[in-house]
Amino acid sequence: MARMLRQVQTRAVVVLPRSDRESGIAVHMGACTTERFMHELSIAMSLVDVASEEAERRGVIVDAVHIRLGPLSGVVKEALNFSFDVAAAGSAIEGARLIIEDVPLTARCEQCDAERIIASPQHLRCPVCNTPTPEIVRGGELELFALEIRENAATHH
Amino acid sequence: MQPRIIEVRQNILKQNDLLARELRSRYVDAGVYVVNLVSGPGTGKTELLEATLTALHGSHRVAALTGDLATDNDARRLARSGAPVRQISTGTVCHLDASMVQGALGDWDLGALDFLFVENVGNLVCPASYDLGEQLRVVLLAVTEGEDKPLKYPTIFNTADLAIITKIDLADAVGFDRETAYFNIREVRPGLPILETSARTGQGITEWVSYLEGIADERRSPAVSSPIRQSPVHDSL
Repeated sequence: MARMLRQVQTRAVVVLPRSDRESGIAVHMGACTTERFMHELSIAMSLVDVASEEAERRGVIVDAVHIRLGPLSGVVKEALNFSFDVAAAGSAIEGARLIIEDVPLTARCEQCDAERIIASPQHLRCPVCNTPTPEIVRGGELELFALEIRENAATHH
Repeated sequence: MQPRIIEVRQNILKQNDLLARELRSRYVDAGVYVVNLVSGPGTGKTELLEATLTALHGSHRVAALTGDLATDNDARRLARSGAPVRQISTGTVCHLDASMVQGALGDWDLGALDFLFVENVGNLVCPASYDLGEQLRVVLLAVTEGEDKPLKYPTIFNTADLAIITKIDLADAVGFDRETAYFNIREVRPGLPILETSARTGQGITEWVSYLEGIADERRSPAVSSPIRQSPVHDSL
């Protein structure tokens, strides 16, 4: 699906071609790109692609994008929120709100024979018996869960 | 018009993950064992990979892809081993993804290879989320980086199948606390096997090569990858 080169007025944005795509966006905050921000911007662009494709396929207008995000997805919520509007500008879902549902990190404790919610990915241990818990059940999600939509007047029968 | 919710349930990185799965099948069919090397910048990936290619080149058919934002310096260094090497220049992108790897493989006959190494962009954040279809993901940590790196970057350590502590010849000089490093690695990825190497002195290289040979023989079969790289949400693809 072709994407248009786009300018965003709110920040100093340099639009550069991506290595293997028609267009992309690199954001320079002052003199340097922050690693964290670039990662979430990349993810936000993928999210916009997936959501836009779905919206166009169904012929609907998207008011909000609901995603589920786990602590082991490698994506930071605040940075993703920040990147989303930039990524959505000029797309089929421009103006949509981003709604993020946090998925708790859940691991299976062999010792307890039970699933446990783990407070932090820095300590994968059962909160009850302290045994290491390598078996992650939930928490890696980076999922477009749902779209909040309105029918597009032109396609509504 | 009433607002309504429609369930989509798609992985945001589904495009990459679908392609990674295809690549994984292709690797398995071709019988090539693919290793993805990840670390921060300056950890010694290239140095270790050069030593690895040199050690394996005589007895095995090996090749490498190396990713950087710019320059082909790493490809030139790796080519000294005698193995075929290609550079992936990502431009502004902070990680390799499956499409870049597929593009770089081009006309290479994977069936004519025993091992393919992919040296990722030096970055502990971005590469974590991108499956390249590899059989083995190795995270490197240099003794000069500090023992708390795994706690600061739990995601990438959690996606790894093996950790290698590099520049081990400098351990004493920098006061490397081995016990704390091992503890921290296993706090974020319980049970992760850990090796130690010095590409400079050659320490640990034989053990690393033996590990590779052993695991390649054992696992030339549909991938057993870490729980995060095959997260439960993928059945919605």
